[in-house]
Amino acid sequence: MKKILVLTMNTFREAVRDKILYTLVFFAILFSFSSILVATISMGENKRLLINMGLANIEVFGTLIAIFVGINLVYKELQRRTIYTIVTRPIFRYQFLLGKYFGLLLTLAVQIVLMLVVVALNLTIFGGLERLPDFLKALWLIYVELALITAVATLFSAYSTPILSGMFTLAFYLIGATSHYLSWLLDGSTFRVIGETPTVVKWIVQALQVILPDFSLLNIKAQVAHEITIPWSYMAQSTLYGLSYSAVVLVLAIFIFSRRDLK
Amino acid sequence: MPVLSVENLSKTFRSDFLVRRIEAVKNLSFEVEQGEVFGFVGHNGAGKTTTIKMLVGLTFPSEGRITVLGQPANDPKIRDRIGFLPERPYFYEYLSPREALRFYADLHGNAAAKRDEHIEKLLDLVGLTKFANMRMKGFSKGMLQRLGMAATLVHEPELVILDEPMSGLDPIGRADMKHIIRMLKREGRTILFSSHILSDVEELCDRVALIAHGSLKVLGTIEELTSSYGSGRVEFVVSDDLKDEAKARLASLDIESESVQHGIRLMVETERKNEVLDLLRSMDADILRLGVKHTSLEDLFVASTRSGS
Repeated sequence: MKKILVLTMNTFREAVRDKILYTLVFFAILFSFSSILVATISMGENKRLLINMGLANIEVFGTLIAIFVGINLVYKELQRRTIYTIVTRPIFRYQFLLGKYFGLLLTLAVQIVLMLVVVALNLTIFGGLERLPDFLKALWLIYVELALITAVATLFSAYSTPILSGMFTLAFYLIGATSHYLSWLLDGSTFRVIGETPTVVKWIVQALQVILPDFSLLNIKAQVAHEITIPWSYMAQSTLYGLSYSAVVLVLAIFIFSRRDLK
Repeated sequence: MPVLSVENLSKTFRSDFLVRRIEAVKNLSFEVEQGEVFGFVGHNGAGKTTTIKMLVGLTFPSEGRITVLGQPANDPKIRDRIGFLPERPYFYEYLSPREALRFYADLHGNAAAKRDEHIEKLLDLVGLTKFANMRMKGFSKGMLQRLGMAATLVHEPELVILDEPMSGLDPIGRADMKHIIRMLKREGRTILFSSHILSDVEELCDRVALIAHGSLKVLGTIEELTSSYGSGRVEFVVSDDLKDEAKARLASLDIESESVQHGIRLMVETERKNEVLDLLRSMDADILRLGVKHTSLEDLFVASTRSGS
């Protein structure tokens, strides 16, 4: 555990000293401030807009960082051969991979906290600070989603190039964001012309629903913006879903990486 | 018990969509004993680095077994007792040498107080104290190699594996590196190092394994190896104003000869030196130079490598 922590803190330190990441965080905070402008010109909707834009900014920039840093997480170590001086020490490959993964999650957490401070400041100025607890719930689920995206980027980074990893991770993200539409195929309306949904199609759709990620379960931005309270049971279920999916992806990444020749 | 034991080690890589098989290491076996400096030499692509990568767990053997201090080498815990310096080591450029060494020491779980004291000693040993707090971006190859040596020793390993440790070093750096290797030997550590620079190997190693094309060619002490190849040769340089008849007689002796400035150089096996000397005297040849050339590791290296190709 201590070795994972050492690797986590080193990955975090790398991110902190990385100029590209600084630029992303700078723009993320700048965008958070820009929502003030939109809120100022909106009539009576400023509270909802600030919450909506704040969450959207955090999700977009978080996803960008998770993908762009995640796809290089292992690849860069291999390409620069820095990995040679690490995995030849008394650490298991899974410790290396988890250290890198948690390091990126820590970086994302710090970025989210920085953006949260800006959003909280906006809500204090324009009113709506009482919505902060629900805002935090939505933020937590965004973080769970980012943990899943990071796990997928880590998986691809463990055996592929950044370009391919980036394409695969982006595809995974898009599938996750749209997979809830699969349920439309089950309600019969899609096949209304020919009647009942064929059984084979139902099986395929149900299998895909189990295999493919469903980010809609982690997306409560609209509910929070419309002041709908999210029950804690939903939070627990969604968190469990996101973290379990991440764990499965990480186990797969570890399985592949532990057997890989580091040439 | 040997510190390192390699038994029937083979490594096959697959390329071109798994169709082509490249046998980088073939049925390699050797042992390294406690406290010795063991040289691992071979031509480019001989399989030295591939073997070393299997020893330290970067790649996995296709066949065979590696045991370090009685434990299987694929157990990461044994690496607490192994120090590894890769060829041309790379480090995180955003770290300073002191930070990098602390990072590596922490991966071994070294206690902080002892860790920092030892790191200062290592920085001094490799001559990097002055640069200890500078970010590594822009460090020369030599400086990175020095830091690599410090990182290899950060946990005081019993077995030190060095892949081309002199690579990228200037003469002073090489002298410092040799000094460190001798110091490690005096401390009772076991050292395996690969090198192209055969004079360094001859100077530092107790025993040598020579591999060519993935297979072990010869193994033994420098004396054993060079004497088995021959006790050496005698070099004669004679003036080139020899009569044609004398030249013809020399040619008929089947001796290696070549023209040099103002003369002819003859390389003669030690056993035939008197025969050739008598002949040259009988021909009134003017001997310009006479010397003994001992068989070197380089002679052995060239002969073994060519015979295996």
